[in-house]
Amino acid sequence: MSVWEKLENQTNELIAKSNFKQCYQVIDQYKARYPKSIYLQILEAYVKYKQSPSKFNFEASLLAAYGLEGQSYTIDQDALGLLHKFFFELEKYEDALHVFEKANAKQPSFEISYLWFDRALQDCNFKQLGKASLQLSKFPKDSVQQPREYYFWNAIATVALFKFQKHRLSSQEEKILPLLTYKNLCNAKPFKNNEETIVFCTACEILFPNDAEKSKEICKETLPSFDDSVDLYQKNFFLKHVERDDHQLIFDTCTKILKSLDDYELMKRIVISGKALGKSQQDLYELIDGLVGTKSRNGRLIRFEIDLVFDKTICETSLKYYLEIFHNRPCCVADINHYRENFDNPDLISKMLDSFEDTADPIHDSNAVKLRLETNKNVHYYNKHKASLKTKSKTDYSLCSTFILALIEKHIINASMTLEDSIFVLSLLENYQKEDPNNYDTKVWLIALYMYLGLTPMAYSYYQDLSVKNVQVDSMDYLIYSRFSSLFPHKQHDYLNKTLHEHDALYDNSLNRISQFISISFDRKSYSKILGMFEFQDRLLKSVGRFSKLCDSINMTYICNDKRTALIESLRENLRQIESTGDFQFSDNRDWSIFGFSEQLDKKNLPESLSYLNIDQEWTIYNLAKIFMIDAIPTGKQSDIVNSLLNKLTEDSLPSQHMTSAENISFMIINDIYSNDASNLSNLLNDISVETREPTTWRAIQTYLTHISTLKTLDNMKRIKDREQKLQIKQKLTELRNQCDDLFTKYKEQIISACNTLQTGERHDILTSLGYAPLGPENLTASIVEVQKAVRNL
Amino acid sequence: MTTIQPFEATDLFKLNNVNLDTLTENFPMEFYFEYLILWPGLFFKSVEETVNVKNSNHNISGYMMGKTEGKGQDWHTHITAVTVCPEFRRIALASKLCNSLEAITDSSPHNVNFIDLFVKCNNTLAIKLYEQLGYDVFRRVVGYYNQPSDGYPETLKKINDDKDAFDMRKGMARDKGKSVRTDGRKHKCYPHDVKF
Repeated sequence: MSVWEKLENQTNELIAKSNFKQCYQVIDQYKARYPKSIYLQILEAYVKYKQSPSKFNFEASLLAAYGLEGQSYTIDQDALGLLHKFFFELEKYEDALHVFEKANAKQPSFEISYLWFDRALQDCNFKQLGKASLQLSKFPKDSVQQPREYYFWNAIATVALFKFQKHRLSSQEEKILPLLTYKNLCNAKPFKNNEETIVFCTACEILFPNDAEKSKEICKETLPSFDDSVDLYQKNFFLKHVERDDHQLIFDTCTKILKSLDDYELMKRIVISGKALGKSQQDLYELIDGLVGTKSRNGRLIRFEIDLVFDKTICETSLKYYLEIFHNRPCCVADINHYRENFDNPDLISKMLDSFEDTADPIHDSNAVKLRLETNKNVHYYNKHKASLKTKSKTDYSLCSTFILALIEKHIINASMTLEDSIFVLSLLENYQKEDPNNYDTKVWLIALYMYLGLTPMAYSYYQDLSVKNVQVDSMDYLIYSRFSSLFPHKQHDYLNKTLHEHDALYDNSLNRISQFISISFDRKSYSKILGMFEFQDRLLKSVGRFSKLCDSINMTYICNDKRTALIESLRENLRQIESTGDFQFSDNRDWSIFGFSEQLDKKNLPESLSYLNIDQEWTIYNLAKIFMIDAIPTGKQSDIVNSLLNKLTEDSLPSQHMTSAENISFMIINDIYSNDASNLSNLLNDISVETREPTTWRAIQTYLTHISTLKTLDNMKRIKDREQKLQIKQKLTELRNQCDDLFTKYKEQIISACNTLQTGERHDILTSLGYAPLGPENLTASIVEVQKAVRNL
Repeated sequence: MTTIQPFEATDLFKLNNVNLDTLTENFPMEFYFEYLILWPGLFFKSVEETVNVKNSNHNISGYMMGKTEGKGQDWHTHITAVTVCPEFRRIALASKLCNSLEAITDSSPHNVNFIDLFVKCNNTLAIKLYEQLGYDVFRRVVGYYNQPSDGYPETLKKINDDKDAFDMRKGMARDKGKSVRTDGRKHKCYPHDVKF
């Protein structure tokens, strides 16, 4: 660790403790030893800024000297690093990287260029990355790489700029940069390996869209490789850019590749070109059978394409040829649905599938159900195949789940849902899950329905069975961590104390390492994956799931009266990282397909069973704004970040459109104090009441806890000085707390009553016919009590 | 209706239908990135064109993670992970992924001598599948799947089908049969012997 790194750590610690006096003393000691150090000058300015951000005149002390328009520069690498950090915190993202550009312009060196490249990579600023990479090529003696390597680095940066950050480009750059990149890459010919060829082809494709000449060049570069190698990128480039009418070339090349790779894309092109070259249907059947065999799924499915190309309809023989092997394979549903509209006779599929009735196993019958050829036989099919659940391997999945999911579909994919519906559906799912414990098709619905009922501990138990970890966290955690602070704010429970913290490692550790991996990719000349890594990093950085959890973590501090300074600072830092990309958007990485029912499920208009998941980009922005409003209220000043966040919303966006009623009231109250000096607070407080709508479900618990959170936040606000308002807040809080036990007692009664309805009637008969026992109220009410215990003392 | 496509980092967001399977390992991000960086051409996926991507993001039916390693005669491809989601099982997709890896690495620039993989000795179904694809047992790796609590194997005499792995190999034409043993099951080695 260098002297300056040690000093920076020391000052950071003192700043964290607000011990500025000692901080200046330490800096003075160093200044006595290094009176001309620019690093120390900048560090001193930084400490002044941290001591009093609002009083710090950064324009005079920093921007004028080192900013975009400034005349000063330094080549001291530590000082450059600190300047970058300083400008970044001041949200001057272009200035932050410009210090390297200026240093390099004044006194060029490989070290500074590399530092510039590295920081641009960390900041995801592809324009600066491109500039820095070109500079790197100018120091052949200092670099371990050949200068030509940096042309590939530059090409990737330029492609990323055009693909992901086009807003950074001037009209002149839009014209010049592609030409410059192309020229540099041509100068690097001949390419030494596939990775270099891929960069060239990608640059031609992205920087010169719809340019026939560049397409020809792409084909020229890729064609020779098919003689002695198989590269998937080059296959794709060829298929995309080969002239559509060059049928002989397409036919010959695709046939050549198909010998090595059983690939449907290749087959489709062979069919089209084959027909154009005068081949018959039979010729093509035989050619493809000869290349991939007669049992290949692709080989059998391609007959559908051949029929369509020649006859514009799929013949019965081809359907039979496909179904005779695949009628009892799970893929049959996706395949047949894809071509469904191309069969002359819509009844043909049903008729044909029936012809295999003698060999009907659970998969065959589940295919019939999924293809909607059978709608009323679910109980029959389940009973027909339930013995197979006993004999299958424990780790295997049974398609019997299809029959159970079909039985519950109308309840779970519906705009309304009664408590009786929920208990009935849970009865079916719970019984099924015992027979097929690893089946996640059904398990995700168990988790969702327990969350819907506000029974987080039960949902959590099933969620643990899924062993969600690593990157999966980002697309799956929304199932149980959406609005966690207002559903089950139990700090000591593993739900928050263990799993939530463990899952945060993805963002706290892995996310921060991605730019290092990308840097390694450049160094190791593994170019083909870099664009994907850029996109992955961007989506993880801007993840809705990540930010909704960050909001909830801070909300927990309001409910539990915990310290929040570090969390808010961390949130601010995360938002800066998004802002620095120049594109303030959140990325919704949540995997909705996990629920199945892909055609019916509309994530913008969720069914009642998934209503607890209705979180979108606007929800996130309103919640972030609320957090920063609360943070700014003690200062009595407007906050830049609040204005900046609210400016991201469209003019017609209203919080009530994106939040629950309690969240909306909470936002309105905080906004009133922040913007209107609490002028309407008394009226707004009157809107706070416990949800009385039945059934209780997650909504009542969420409403109660959101109100508690709002009132406790207000109760701790010194800014509210009006005695009547203070009294009103305390009264509301007491009133609300007094209703807590009633809320949960009523909920238990509702659950017991709903469970009782399953003891008789049509639903009882369905359960009995399946050999299932109705769900008893014991576990459900025990879970309600667990939630109640976590909530009642808040 | 499968096409074989390069695996991209963003695909990691779309693997739940594959990786929620209890027997499929869900690796740390860093592990996937290591393969993306070091063996970019040997990490690929099978994509189902019949899945309607407007409604579903589960169009990846499986993936292959492979690497090349070793020197001289030992220069070979290793299958690190090959997995297929439940919806696209029983259609020989795992075989297709293995065959694709073979096609890629049995040609330029890789030109390997053989391909190997490890499989638990008691996983008879998988062993049968690999045998059908042309793989043979080359040796038994004693204690390959030992947990830390089991410790490192002290002897090759004590075997356990649930803890030991078969090192299965398929020789390429250029290998001229050097990586094939008819009595592979009788040959035993320690886990450190299979590090290249």
